[in-house]
Amino acid sequence: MHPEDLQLLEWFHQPETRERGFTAIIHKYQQPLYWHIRRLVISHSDADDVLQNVMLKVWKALDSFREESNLYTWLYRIATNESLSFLTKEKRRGSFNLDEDYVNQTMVDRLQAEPYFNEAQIEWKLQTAIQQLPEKQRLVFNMRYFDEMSYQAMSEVLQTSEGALKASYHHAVKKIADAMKQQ
Amino acid sequence: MEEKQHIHLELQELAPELVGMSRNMPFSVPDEYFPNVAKRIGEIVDPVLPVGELGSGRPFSLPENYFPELSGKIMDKTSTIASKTGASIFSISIVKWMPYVAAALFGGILVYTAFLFKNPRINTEKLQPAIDFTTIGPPVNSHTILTPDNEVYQAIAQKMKGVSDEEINKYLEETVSSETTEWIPEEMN
Repeated sequence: MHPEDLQLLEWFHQPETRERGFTAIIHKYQQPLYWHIRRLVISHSDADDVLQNVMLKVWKALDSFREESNLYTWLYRIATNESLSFLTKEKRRGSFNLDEDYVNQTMVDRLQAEPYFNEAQIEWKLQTAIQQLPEKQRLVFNMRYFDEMSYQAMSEVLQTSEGALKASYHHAVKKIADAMKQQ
Repeated sequence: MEEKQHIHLELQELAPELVGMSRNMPFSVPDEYFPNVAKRIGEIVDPVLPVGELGSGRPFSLPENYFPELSGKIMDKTSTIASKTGASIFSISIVKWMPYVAAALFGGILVYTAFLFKNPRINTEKLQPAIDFTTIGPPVNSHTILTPDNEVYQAIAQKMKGVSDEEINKYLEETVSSETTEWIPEEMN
């Protein structure tokens, strides 16, 4: 584990420095976690809600965190699970139609509802292509392409074999390249 | 080799057109969002779980090992009751018993039918009607029109020979009029 994370955990485990340790963990990881969540749920208010839930769970569970894994991958796992369960609830609330194409179109609609959406801008084009991927591939692509995570770290977060993650990422990259050509 | 370089080489092999693409996020975030995240989360976390007071969140106490031992205790009690009463557990299912009930009914019907065939007198002698219909004249309904050639008309005429019109009127006034007006509502009577 990173020495800085060990220091933060030590603060957290001491009653007198508990709040200080927790605040430092938030400051360190709020941005990468926020962007990981935001890329999945798209809207800022939803990302904010999910991030708060993540941090609440972290506060409750940090005492039982075993320092065998990285704090970073542990936090990512909580954020990923929270984001995916949020999306599942949204799908159930909005419609009983869980057809993948329909769900992907809903995600594209969310993207297009963003305040500064501009379909001509390359970053928005890329995001539109990502939203058309199946959920697992979208997740893997985001973690590898934007967060620059190793397959080993992704394997810890998603509890999936590195080989399966590699295959998912390769499929995702090919699909995105095709989609970008068509746009 | 750093992970960044791995990713770069991998992407170059898979889709070179994506290599130079911007990784900037096009999404907007409200001003001062990140500087305030920790403060807002702290406000949520503190009232729920005050620092230094983290516990199970339940004010009630339980004996040690209550839940791990609970299932064993229940199983002990059920086996004690069963051995004391000698009770055996069996299930009652209507569906399971239906074929037996149907078979018993069918058997009963067969036995009764055979009994009737062996004792045919029961049908004719014991079930003789109590009233001898041959002694009763033809039925008279309220809507039967009596004509002079009718047997009933003739019998009535024979019996009424010695009765005067006055006696008949008096009889009708006493009996028939009071019966026929019973159903009429008071305000109309």
